[in-house]
Amino acid sequence: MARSLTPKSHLNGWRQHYLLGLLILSLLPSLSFANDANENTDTALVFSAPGLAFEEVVDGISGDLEDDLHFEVYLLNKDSKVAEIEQQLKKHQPKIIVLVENNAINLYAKYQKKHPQQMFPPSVAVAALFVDRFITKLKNATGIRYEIPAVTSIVNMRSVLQKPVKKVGVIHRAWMQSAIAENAKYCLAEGIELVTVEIPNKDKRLDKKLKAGLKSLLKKKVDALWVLNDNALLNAKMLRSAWLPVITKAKLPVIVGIKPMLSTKLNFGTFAIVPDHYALGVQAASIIAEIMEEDWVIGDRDIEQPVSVRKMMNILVLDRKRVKYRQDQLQRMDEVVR
Amino acid sequence: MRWKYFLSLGLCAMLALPVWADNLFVFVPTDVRAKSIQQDISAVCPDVTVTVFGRGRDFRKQVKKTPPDAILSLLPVINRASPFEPVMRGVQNGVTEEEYVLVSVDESLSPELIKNKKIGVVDLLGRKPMSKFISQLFKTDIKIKRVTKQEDLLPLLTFGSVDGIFVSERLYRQIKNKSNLNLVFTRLNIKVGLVSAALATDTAKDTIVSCLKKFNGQINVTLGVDQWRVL
Repeated sequence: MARSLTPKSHLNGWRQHYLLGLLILSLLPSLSFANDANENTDTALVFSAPGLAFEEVVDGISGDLEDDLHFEVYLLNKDSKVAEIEQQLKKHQPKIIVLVENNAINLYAKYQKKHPQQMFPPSVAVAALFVDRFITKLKNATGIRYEIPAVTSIVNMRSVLQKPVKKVGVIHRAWMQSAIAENAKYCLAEGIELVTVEIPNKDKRLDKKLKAGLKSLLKKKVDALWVLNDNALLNAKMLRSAWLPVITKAKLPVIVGIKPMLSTKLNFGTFAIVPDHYALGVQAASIIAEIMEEDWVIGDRDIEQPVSVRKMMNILVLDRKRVKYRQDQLQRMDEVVR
Repeated sequence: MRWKYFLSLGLCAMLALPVWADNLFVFVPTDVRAKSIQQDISAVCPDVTVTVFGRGRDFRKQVKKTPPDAILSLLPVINRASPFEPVMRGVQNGVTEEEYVLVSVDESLSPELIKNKKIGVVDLLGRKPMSKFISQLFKTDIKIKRVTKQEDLLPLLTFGSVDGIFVSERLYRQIKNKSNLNLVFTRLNIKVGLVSAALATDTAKDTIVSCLKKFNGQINVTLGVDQWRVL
């Protein structure tokens, strides 16, 4: 049967769509993962930056706890204000807050500072760079580091390479000294010496210092290099003037922390070990579950190291560098650049 | 000319039918990536549509959403997947179960003092069912820390996030090969069923049994078995 729409029904249809659109718009950017069974469950309020990686984190958290908590997700951008945090807290009265990415931590820290006498629910920070430095600004908070520890990256790389990996070189700025020392301790337990070169936090000729540091590491006959995700050391200028002139000639595997550094054209990274965002969310969910079981008390919980990674390797660059690897281990990689 | 009309209609109907293949969902925690296992199984079982899941949650969701004809997983997963009935059991060294151990760093863990310890496990069943399953195995309440991938158990020990990990003896040997930590293990007299295949209905039985029998050594090693036994 043919169906015709009269002008009036057309208008009604348009009105319905318009109202539906308005309803959807009014719900954005506050997205709800509510289900039918959660009318009586406690609420977890998630403040997150937009983006696929952060969505995966939120998916990992909310999926793991969907039977226990009702999740409200509020997306923050660089223009978001403290007032938005305040409004969402009043609206949802959460039992726990999840802060995804640095902007969420900064805004929530400002909110806490604005209300010094207030009691705050526990909060868990995740997918935020250098979380240790920023979490100190928060009351009743814990979290998971975003940076992948050297030991995780090196042990994964070691299981693929044919030659032994005993000494790994790293160049870092002075402010990262304590983090590097902690990494060196974990590496030592795995029989790996982390050979470190410290350069100043700021220097007019940072590229020269970096280049000299790299050369000194090669002289110390390190088996591999671990490259930190430090914007001051890893940018176009530094790549051009310090990293590439030294690294492309060296017959060494290079571990990087971001996928673009694995590009064949760049001829730089051989292994990229990056966070598994979904698993990071599940790890955060397990912290939330433990806090929930402790009647919403964080206690003396330490900031956790991330346990799950995604592993990628570029066998073209490895071949160019004549670094031998175990073919049977390629199946254990998330991605192989051939 | 009427027969030509019916013949054309019949041909069109045949062409319009989807190509029928039995569906097999696989969830077996292993260090080998799901995509790679899927390729290997699909290559030996071209008449089966194989989907391999790397995460338990995705597997459980999909089984619920679009129930397959058959599933392949560890026995504790199969036992909780209604209405699937086991049809084949994986065998390793002549037995269909494997020993599980507690692995720790430097000092072994006493099973008697396990109650207040935090134990790392690979998540097979989801938060609450997994916690219940482990507590049933240990016959006491255990605090567990779940990870989504087998390879994430070693970092739990490295960073002292848990007191120990609960793994099969086979996996313990794999971890020991990868790590230079001073790993020690405690026998528990706990056995868990190896990978098994289960069917929703008997219609796919012949195809699935024939498929599993074609698994080569590499697939079987990945799945932790050396042969298959029809039930």
